[in-house]
Amino acid sequence: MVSSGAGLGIEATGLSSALQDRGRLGLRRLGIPWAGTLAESWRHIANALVGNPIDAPVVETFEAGLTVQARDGAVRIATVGDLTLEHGDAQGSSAPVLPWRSVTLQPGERVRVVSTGRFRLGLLALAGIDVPVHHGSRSSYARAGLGGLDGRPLVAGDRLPTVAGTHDPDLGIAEDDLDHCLDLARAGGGEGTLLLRAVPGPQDEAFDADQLARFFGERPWTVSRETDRMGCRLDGEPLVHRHGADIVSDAIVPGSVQVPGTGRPIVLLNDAHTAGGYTKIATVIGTDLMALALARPGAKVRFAPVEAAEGVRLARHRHTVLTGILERLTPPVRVPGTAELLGANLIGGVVNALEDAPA
Amino acid sequence: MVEPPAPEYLAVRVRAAGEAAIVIEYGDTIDPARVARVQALDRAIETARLDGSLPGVIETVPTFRSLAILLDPLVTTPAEVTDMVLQLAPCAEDPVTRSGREWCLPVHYGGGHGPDLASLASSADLDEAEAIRRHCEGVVDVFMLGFLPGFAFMGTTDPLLQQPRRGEPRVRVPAGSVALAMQLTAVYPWESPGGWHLIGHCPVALFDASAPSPTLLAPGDRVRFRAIGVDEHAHLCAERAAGRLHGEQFLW
Repeated sequence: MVSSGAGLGIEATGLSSALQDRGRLGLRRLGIPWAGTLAESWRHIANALVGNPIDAPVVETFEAGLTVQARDGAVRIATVGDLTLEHGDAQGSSAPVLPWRSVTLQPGERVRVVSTGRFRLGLLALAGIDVPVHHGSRSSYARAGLGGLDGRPLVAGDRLPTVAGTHDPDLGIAEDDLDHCLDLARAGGGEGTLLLRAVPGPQDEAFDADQLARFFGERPWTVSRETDRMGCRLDGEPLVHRHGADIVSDAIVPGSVQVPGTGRPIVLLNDAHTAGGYTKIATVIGTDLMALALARPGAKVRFAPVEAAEGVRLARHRHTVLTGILERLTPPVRVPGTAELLGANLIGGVVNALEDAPA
Repeated sequence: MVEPPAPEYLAVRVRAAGEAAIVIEYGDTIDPARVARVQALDRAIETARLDGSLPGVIETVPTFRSLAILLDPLVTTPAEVTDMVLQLAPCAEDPVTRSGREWCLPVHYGGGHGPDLASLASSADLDEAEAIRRHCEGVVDVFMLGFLPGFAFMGTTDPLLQQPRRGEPRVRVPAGSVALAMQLTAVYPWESPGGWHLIGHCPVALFDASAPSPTLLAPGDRVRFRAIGVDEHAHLCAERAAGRLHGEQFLW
């Protein structure tokens, strides 16, 4: 592939921004976690919107502030999330622009994330993004200097290079799919409470029945301020272990709910260590983990026990929903004024999003 | 021929770990025989994966007590993987076979790098030289990695060197610190908090993001330690700083 010369300049990162793909699989035995985006289904959508292959990394950005600019040529980007965005042209005038669609930025044009809405993060895909694979992945795992840009998260002044891209038309999600897309980051429960389905174990025996009932009970837990890409610590009345919190070290997986001696559960996420010496009461299923990973401190959380087989059924259902969204991508409805402002190219055929859908 | 009764560590339990993993558990204590069983099953699964007979298995994670198997629920299910793995488990009965590499890691013991050597030795009624000799004498197995990328839990150490973890963990343990706790020893690949007893410093990088394998050690490897003096330590540190120290130099 040939460098297009064009790139995406990072002018501001918001709270933090880093490149993430599916993750660095296969190295957990060496103590190296997957990393990878906390919003994997959204990553598929973002990449499909710009015609990227399914393994392409995206910019995962926390809270408002990410500001990007086309440099040395036009670039095509797509943003996903509950985002409020502002587009600025080279002359300095600005106007709102919508997420869940791709837009072509002419040299000097900017997009800024004004708000990430109901979630703590959003994603940005860049057509033809060209950064090296590092031990099987482009995901940033800064703890060990792996992936990302030179082994680190993004900082203002960075430039993401692109290879010469195709001239595909811009794409957006189907109008009726906005709720489906946002639902990927939600979990039932009503009235602002996340209901996370979790499979009991592998150390549920470390708790008496009344403690298990309380963990899975009506009274919600609260997402604490101690929440990051490693995990999400929950506040609430501490759980009591039957014989203490310590075990001989055992593997951790994304979604493991560890209960250390404090009795306050920690739901472990993508950057968590790969093994640990605390009891794990349950494992949140992958389908619901994204909702927790995207929740802000203060969010209320309840847990519902499910069998592993039900978790599999839900994972497959989620995949069907996502595939449907990808199949229905379409050149976005032309909004008078906005399209002209963005210089969006609305002509041409429809990209076969299925080609980029997960197998 | 009468089958002898199966030892306790041969009994496996399958534990749930969500819809995308299972844990094959062999017990709940640190025991070299148990670790050998875990690693034998790990190798049997790797062979089956290479044959293509375990579709949907992403990777495995051996620990002291168990083997975790991470899977793709779009391709397979915990129940299917459990069935296939339990068929493999009886085949994995040759824990003597070793696949790991053997290392000899240089260590500068005591002084500022090993602030706990004196107390650890005296609590076992040893002088420091004897404690060092006992750390270098045996060959230890890499039981598992975890806690930090590249952090290898190795054992079993000499019984006289075995101490519980420090009551008060240190907020900052320097990278390269050689440490002891319980029947285990380790080299900290990174600066981090830590509760183990620090007895020396190893100038070899345990983690190198630019190396073909980012961690020096892997489960199943064997390690012995070699005491080095202050001059050789300084020389090796200088070589490393100049980019001339590579892990392969320490294979034996």
